[in-house]
Amino acid sequence: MPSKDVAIIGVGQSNFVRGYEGSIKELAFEAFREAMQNAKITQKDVDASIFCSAPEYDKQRSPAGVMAEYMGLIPQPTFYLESVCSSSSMGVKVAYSMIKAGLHDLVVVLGFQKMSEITSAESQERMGRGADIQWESPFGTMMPGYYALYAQAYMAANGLTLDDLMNVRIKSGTYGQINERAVYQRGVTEADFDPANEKARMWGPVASPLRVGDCCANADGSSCIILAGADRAKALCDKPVWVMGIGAASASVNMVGRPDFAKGMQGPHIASAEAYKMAGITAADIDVAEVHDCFTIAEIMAYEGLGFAPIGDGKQLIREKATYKEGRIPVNVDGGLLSKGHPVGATGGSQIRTIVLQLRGEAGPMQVKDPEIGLVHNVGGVGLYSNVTILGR
Amino acid sequence: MDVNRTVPFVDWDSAPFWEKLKEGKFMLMECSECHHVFFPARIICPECWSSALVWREASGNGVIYSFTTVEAGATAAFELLTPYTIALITLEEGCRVFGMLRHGAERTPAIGAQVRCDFEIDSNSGFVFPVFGLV
Ligand SMILES: [Zn+2]
Repeated sequence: MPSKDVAIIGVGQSNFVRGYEGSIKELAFEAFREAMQNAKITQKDVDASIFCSAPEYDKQRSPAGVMAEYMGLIPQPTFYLESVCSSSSMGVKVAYSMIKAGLHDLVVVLGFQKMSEITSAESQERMGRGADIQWESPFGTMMPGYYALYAQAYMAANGLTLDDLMNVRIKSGTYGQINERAVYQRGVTEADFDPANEKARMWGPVASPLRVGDCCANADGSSCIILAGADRAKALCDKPVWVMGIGAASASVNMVGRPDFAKGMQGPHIASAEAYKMAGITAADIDVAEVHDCFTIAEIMAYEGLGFAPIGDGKQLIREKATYKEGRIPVNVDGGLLSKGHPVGATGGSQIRTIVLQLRGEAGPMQVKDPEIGLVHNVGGVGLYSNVTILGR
Repeated sequence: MDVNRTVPFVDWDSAPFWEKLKEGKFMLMECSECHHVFFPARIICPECWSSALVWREASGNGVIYSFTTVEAGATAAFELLTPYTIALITLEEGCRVFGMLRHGAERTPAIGAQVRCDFEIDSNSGFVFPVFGLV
């Protein structure tokens, strides 16, 4: 049995919205307050804090100190962590390590991102610099374009169709409409992907083969995860959720250095193998999962990277509705990034919160039946940083 | 067309590549010690760590590894070029490279299709970029 050394004792998340009007400090405080109240602790119980965001969107330089002061978490040590879209998953990994090492016993991980803090043009330009600025950006690469390159090669090799991708989006909408924290709370139907439908425009081309409906939306938001060592967790919390396994991997930033696109991204295969080994389980033991569906194609590739389906067979899960709430392996039953929105630095923490609520039986209308083990797959960049976290009751 | 296209950050390790493009040559690097041929350019061989590297001209022939036509959401620097197609090309020397792909509306690109490298000057910046065309 895996050791029960470190647990999550509190979770919080702001609403994910478009154009949040307050400061990043207020935005972060929303998730912080909810997580602290959830854990029933005050600032003096906290031994250290880790702030997570993608700095290219923040006007504030070195935000951890500013944030720690605002949350009332000084003079305890504070840290800043960045791995783009997977920053807060990695924050949880670092918090886990600190607690295991005996450095700090109770750690707050606070992810935040106000995507609208800078103009859309500025943000595009800065995002572009997240690619290889020497050898990629000069050719007009852009975020959906990278996933489109994967989609094109993967679909040609594995018989995945545009309708399969549409069905990933339709599943997302099924749960987005019952998640009151999601930025996009509307159901999605086949009619939204019909080019005759001028209103929904889900069919609108972005980067072939990906359409508007295949891409997640930007959002402003924050998430907060509070972790503690075993004794502290048991003393403070009735329903601690244990960190059973953690795995991570990195990959070549430049697409010219990536292995076979037809097999999806390599990072999640490595990260999940490590996490399963640490937890002493296999993919078949997972009862509920959150995967990084920044694009519909990413969810299909994640099914395979996590071992829910053999390589090339991810399409079967969506065709058989196996990843719906009632299916064999429910995935993204909170709407995922596609419906919730993707406030980069807050995304991983939001996924972890969803799984914690599921394992506690507190997920409301999104609750799957009696899950014991849950998994979070959170990817930064275009598969550049892969993180897999396994949680259990 | 007044296109303010993103230009490369040119430094010591990459300058010869961009210079040779002006002569219509797409250059790869070859290690004199272990004969590893690679792209993009570096100043130390990633295989054997030798510094004895030489530039070697590629034939310019290759096949499409993957591609995408960008129709919306391009960065400001590329908005005026939209729609445009970017592609990963496997050169016959074995290296995979990034480039723009030109094709008329009547010819859709496909994975595995033969392409050949051509060269196009960006009048704004003076940079020459490799542009692949369907053979
Ligand atoms: Zn060498």
